[in-house]
Amino acid sequence: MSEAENDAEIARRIAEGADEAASCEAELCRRFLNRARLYGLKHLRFDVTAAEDLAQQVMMILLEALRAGRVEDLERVDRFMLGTCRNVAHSMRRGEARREGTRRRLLTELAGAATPPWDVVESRRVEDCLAKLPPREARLLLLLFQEGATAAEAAESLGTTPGNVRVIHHRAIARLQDCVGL
Amino acid sequence: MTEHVSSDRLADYLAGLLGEADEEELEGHLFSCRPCALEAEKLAGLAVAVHRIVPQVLTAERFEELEREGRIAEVKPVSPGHTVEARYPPAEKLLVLRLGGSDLSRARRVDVDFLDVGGRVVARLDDVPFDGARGEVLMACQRHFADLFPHDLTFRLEMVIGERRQEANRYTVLHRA
Repeated sequence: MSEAENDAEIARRIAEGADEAASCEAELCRRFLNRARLYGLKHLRFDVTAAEDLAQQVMMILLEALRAGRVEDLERVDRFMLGTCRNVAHSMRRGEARREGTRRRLLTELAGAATPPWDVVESRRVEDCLAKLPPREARLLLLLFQEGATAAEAAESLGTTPGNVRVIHHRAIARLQDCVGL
Repeated sequence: MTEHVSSDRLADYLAGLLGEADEEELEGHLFSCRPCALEAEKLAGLAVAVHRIVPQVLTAERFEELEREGRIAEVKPVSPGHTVEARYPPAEKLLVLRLGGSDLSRARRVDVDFLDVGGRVVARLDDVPFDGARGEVLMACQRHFADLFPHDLTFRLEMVIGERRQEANRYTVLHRA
């Protein structure tokens, strides 16, 4: 299956139950699984287990909907994905039951289609690089990504303005990426 | 949104620095634009790595999160004035020392000094998280700390009440391989 083939074409073949539907499902997972993981990370406070759970639920809902012909606009699979991400994240935040059976099946069959973003970066390397940042930049990254501080809270903690928080943040991320080699 | 998104904006998104409307617009774009999604995933990997860095003193929430993730090998309660032995945890795991029994109810700030057997300060952590109601500070010890600090350490808690600074308690831990 080539990169050039668009998402809608792949979705259509799954919906039609084509012979190669299984490989199409794997390809769709390869393309969208990490986007769902990304959404999960962002909205579930960087809890990688919860993000993985969300991503697998969302992919399974998409595949089941495609197979059952319930995705009306195959040209906009991305919108279906985003809407489903929002719904599942909302349910998970409310603590509703997870779809364990589905999750386990997808875990073994399709989740390997894309390497999770969190497996790509070595934590110890980032820790070493963070220690080399100017203390204010390192402190800001910890405030934002560990403590979930808002711009206003981070600004107060650093004794600066929310606008300046963004400037410091951009500089810190660029330095960190450079050091980690990402 | 049709053009690709800058790295700065993607980083702001992940850090929660965009407004709600901008965030929703960007999410719509990420699901329809593969190059931007790939760039965002790289940054997300970095953000997760920062999130995963374990501070030396834990909040109760972080402790619960680490416990859920199965990262905690052992939790060791330590009482004021007592000496306990503790094993360094396996790689990637944590030994959590519960430094309890201090009256921190009126403290507005707590600092921790690391003292060696000679009473010299070898490290200091300022303004650490603490549980005022339980009178507790949760220290997270990692295996590689064996290379960074003396194995036998006394943790001296200092608290600030109003403008007054005073020692709360001392806890001695003999770390063993």
